[in-house]
Amino acid sequence: MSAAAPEIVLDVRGVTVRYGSARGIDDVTLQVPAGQVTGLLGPNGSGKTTLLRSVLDLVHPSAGSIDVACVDSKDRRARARVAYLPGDLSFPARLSGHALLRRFSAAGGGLEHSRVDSLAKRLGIDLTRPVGTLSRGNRQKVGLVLAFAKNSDLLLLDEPTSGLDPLLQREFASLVREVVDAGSAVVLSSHVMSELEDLADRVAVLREGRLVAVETIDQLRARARQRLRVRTVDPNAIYPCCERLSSIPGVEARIIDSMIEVTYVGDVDGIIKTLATFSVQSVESVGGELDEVLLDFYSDERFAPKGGA
Amino acid sequence: MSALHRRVVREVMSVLVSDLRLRWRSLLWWTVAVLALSALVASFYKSIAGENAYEDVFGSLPESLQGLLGGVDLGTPVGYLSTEMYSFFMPAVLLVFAIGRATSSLAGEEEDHTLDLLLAQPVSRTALYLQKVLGVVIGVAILSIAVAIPVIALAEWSELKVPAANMWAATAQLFAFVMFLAMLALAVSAAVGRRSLGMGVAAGLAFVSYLIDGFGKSIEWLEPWRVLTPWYWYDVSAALTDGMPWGSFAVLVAASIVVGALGLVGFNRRNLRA
Repeated sequence: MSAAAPEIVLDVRGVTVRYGSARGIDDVTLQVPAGQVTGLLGPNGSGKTTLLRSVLDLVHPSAGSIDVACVDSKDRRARARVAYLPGDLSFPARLSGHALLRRFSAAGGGLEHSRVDSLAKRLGIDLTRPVGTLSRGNRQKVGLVLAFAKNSDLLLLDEPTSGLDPLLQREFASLVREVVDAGSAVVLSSHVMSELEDLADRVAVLREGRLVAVETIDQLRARARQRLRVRTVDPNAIYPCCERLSSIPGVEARIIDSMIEVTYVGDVDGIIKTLATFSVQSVESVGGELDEVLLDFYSDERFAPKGGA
Repeated sequence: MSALHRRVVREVMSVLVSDLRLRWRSLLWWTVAVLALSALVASFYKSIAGENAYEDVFGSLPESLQGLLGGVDLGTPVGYLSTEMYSFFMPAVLLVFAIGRATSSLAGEEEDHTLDLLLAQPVSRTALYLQKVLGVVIGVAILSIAVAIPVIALAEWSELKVPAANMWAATAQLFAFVMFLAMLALAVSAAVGRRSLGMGVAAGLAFVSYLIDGFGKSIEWLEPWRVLTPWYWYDVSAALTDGMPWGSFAVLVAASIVVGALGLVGFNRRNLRA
């Protein structure tokens, strides 16, 4: 029984939202399990915010359906256990942090008041001041208190770390881990991979409103082009060595500064076996950048949205 | 039963109470201003009561202009109240408040990006809409009453004497009239998500229909169109003379409900802007 699959908290099935000019989403299917962080990755305008807002029924799908903890998203009760941090965060300026919390808990927010003070303390935010007098970063903190103080099964956080300094980004990461450990599901949107890399279990990549991949960070890493720098004992041997490496499928090799730079995707076996036939002085792994994977998703024709112009 | 009752109250009242907390100061200042304006206008009556000069001047005006000014003479309490207070001045003051508040209640929150977080709570759009309507109703009711209070309180001294029941009838007429245009402003702005459009439609209708109703009293071909204007049904002279005109009150209320319901349908169907 312990091996049972985690419960699906958010079930998005074939959802299409036509919205404005280009900011809709097209036939998106995504399941978000409890106890995990799902990253939502895509450039600006790729539909991340629209997807999150369709879960909250702020925009209505023209096709498909969404269940939150088995409740249809059109039912207001679906939002009872969802916490939300909007990307474009605004509050009525004259209210203090405390008054805001009252406003949203009155609206059925289900805030856990015991958690409010400890959250405020951890994030270092004064909830007695009118939010209109706060800096952008501090308003973001009020939004975080609002989201994390809610007793929720699902947290939808739209670009949550914008405006936060690195120290607070770390505090934010630990907050996310705590709620995930407690069994909640977290959906985190970002346009940069580095924000999701350490936090997300899985990443869903959006391109022009379509979901082009849902993969674990490890799977994404495996997609990342790895790089090796090889130096042969005999400097003249680099030419035949480079030629042999280039002939391996999926491997690119070129000579830079009397070294061979080898770029490859997947496993390294063929490269090692080829190198074994030469006398090699050093092999240095330069590592692959996850951000490059993203660029592949965005530029590769294989991932281009189908049916479009 | 009581748990269910509490839940219903919570669902229907939560945002309303929060909104009132957010805006009671502005409502207080509006109330003070309306009380002061009404007291001022009421106290002027003392100096002109019974003078025929006004009647003579009024009588010498062309009929169309008399119609636009309310069509009754200023020398009597009913004539003075309907012309100076109720026919245009106070409706205009209350409309500024009501249209402003009505359009800011949903479209304003949307334009200020504060609506998202509110509707991310387990509140239905219908419940939110009704709470916002109720917020405007409360504000307009308080200001309508604030118009009548100084008149009644100063009646002995100012000689501006109208039976209290008729004053309350006029108050109800003023309330229903202002609410109709406020409802139109709220409905249009909520259905399209633009404060300015709701304001424009309501203020534009108030102005154009005022001219149609006013000139329609003397211009024959305009006369049939008067029944389509809210000003026609805002029958404050009848209220001050004979008490509550239930028929026209019902027309204004029914029109408000229809307009409000259409706005709700539009608001429920729409994709909100982030």
